[in-house]
Amino acid sequence: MSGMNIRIIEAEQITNAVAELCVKANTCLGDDIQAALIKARKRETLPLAQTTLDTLLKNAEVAASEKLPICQDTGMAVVFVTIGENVHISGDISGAINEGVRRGYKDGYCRNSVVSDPLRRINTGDNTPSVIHYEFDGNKSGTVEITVAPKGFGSENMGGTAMLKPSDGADGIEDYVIGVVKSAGANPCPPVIVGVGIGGTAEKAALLSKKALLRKVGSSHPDSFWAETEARLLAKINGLGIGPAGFGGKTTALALHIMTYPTHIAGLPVAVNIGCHATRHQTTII
Amino acid sequence: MRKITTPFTDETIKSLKTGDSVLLSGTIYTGRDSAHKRMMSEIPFEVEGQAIYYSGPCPAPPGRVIGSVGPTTSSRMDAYSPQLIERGLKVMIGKGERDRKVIDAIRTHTGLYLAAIGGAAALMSLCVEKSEVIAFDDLGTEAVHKLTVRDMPLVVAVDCKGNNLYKRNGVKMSCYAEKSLKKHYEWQGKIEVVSRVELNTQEELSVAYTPGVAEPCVAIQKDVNLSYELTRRGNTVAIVTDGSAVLGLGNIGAEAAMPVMEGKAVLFKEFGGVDAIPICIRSGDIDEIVNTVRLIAGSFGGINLEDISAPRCFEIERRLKECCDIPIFHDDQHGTAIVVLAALRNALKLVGKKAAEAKIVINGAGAAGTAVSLLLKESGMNNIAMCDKNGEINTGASLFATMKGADVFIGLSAPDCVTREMVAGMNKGSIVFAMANPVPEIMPDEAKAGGAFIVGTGRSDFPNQINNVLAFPGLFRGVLDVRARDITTEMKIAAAEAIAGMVSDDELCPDYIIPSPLNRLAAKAVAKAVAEKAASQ
Repeated sequence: MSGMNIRIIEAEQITNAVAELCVKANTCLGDDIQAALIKARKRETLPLAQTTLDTLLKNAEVAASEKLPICQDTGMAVVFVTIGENVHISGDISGAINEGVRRGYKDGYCRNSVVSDPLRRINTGDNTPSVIHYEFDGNKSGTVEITVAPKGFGSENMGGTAMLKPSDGADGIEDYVIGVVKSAGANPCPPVIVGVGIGGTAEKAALLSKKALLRKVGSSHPDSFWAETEARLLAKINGLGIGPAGFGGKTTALALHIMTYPTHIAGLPVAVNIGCHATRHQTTII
Repeated sequence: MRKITTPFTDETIKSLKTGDSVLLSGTIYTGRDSAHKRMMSEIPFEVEGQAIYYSGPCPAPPGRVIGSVGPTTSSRMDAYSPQLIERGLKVMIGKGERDRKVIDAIRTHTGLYLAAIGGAAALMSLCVEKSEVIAFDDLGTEAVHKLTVRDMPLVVAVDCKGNNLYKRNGVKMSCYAEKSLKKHYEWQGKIEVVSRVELNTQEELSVAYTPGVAEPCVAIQKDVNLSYELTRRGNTVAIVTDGSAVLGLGNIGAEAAMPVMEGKAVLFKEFGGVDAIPICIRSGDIDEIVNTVRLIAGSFGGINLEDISAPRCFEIERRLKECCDIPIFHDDQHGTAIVVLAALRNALKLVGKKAAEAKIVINGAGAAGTAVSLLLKESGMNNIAMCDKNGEINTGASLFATMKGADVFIGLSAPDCVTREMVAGMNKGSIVFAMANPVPEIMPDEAKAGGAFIVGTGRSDFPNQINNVLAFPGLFRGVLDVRARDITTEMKIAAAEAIAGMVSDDELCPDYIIPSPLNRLAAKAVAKAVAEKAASQ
């Protein structure tokens, strides 16, 4: 390492950044989603669908101006950390992130929704621990990128993973994804954003499906093959008629994002992660 | 927008209909998962006439009454709600579908399920004027909060008649058509002939085929009845059509009818273990059809006539019964009559009306309507008025007038020809079977809104699907098992009773008067009843 310029980041910087991201993600609806809701509002013809989308837009306005959480389910904090080359973090990074979550959820008057044990279910009282995913990116140097994506369980409960056979192909993927969204119905607070992870292993597909929710709404997949698949699946989902809040209408999903990864000759893993109408996430680069 | 206040009276609840938007003011109580679990032993407030809001709020920022407070997913409370409703709870507020038991409890106890918009939690907090924790403080956000709300915007998701907003709007699977076509390309036919014998050695060949096969041939030549024992005849039925009345498509011809006939053969095999062979005849001429079937009848144990238009189907069936020595059964007539009779028996039992006295209106005087009317009469239901598109057949009175004071409406006619008002004119505890397919005479929620107590349709996406598949596979199974020569009225009634008997008295409720078409036990029960009846005749 001698001769290289190593950047040192204090754990406290991470904590501060995470705390801010928690508050911002929970109170500010993304511009991309806001634009998509406005676009959807113009398309709807059913009065109930129109007023529901109006209500969601008004809610976002009130949340931002009054600094109130968009939704009372401020979720479990999912944190994506991408560490570039030539960075040294001084201190316990996971501890620093959880301290940030603890502080952010308190400062933002967010709800504590985490229980310490899946069966014994005692609330931890500070919404920690968060779920942290670390990545190292050799193309970035001297920076740490942090995304906080609070995930409510109205939508999280509605996801799923399937290990399809390679012969199931595109039809198998379509049947599975549409089946998951259809059976979710009104529960994940539509209009939803559908994240689809295809390939890798079971856990890789599941992680990809969550990461797919972070992509900008309105952007299309860089690979035209998958961009077409996304458009086709989205059209079918919006043909289900579930509509805003499940009250019926043309807008069941605002977007469907696919992320893929190479996989094994014997497998076709598919995972679906559904994000609610707010699909909250905020990113910063330190 | 309609304003309503707590506590709720039955009068207010009855005036609200699914899909109505309301603004709610007054006192409501929050409670979600853990609080519901505890409320099974102790409800910490006077629940009579009250509303529970499924929500766990955020902490209140300084200067505010409460933090963000939107609805959570209601289905997690389904296990607890019926008990609370029985104890006086009137209204639930949340998001998403409820299960059948909750909807039944709402209907029985004049309750209401209101939907709040999931995610609109900041906005909702502005409607709360007062908040205090009154119980289960240790549960934190899940504690029971007593809220005073003003003009909380909500939508009626399930009204006291059980109409379900989510069912009505959601999930119209529009992609069946495309998917089915794709699958048919892939299948290249849904049925095939499979050999029942091993054919590996010279000897096996000589036994199954020549020279050995001459022996069973000669045996049948001497005694034709042996064809049932020495060949597959005794398990084989011909599905005969001329393609003249296929689904709602009209006269589409022999070849085009085949996908339906193959599908029917699949149902015969899957539910009754019967080998059914589609025979699609390229003629609409009665003589030609009768002659064709007569000539091939020796290859089959029974004939199922299918999708032949009225009135030709009546004459074809009558003449074939005269000239053939195997059972002839026009499923569109008699299969429908059997399942309608089964559903009607249970429905009348549920509303406590006598079969002989109930006033029954049948709309549609085609093949199915005529057969239904005949079978109902044979089983003791004599107060029947038949209507067609010109009104009551004898008097010419309008359908609206004929339905006034009726107990039962059976539609075997056309889409959307019955209105909510027409149902409202029927007697209390009215039964509406709207069986036009795929769009019924009246949609179930409309019929319920008009006051129908029990609604059945031909569709799989509503309760009480009255479908022929409950009858024909088991019926032919039973007939073939005892080698009956005819299918008599008594055998049809026995089949209907067997289907009706699948629903026990405990299970019988307005949304469950007839078993699901996918219930394979139905065919078994029908086969047994029909075989027994045939043997006794």
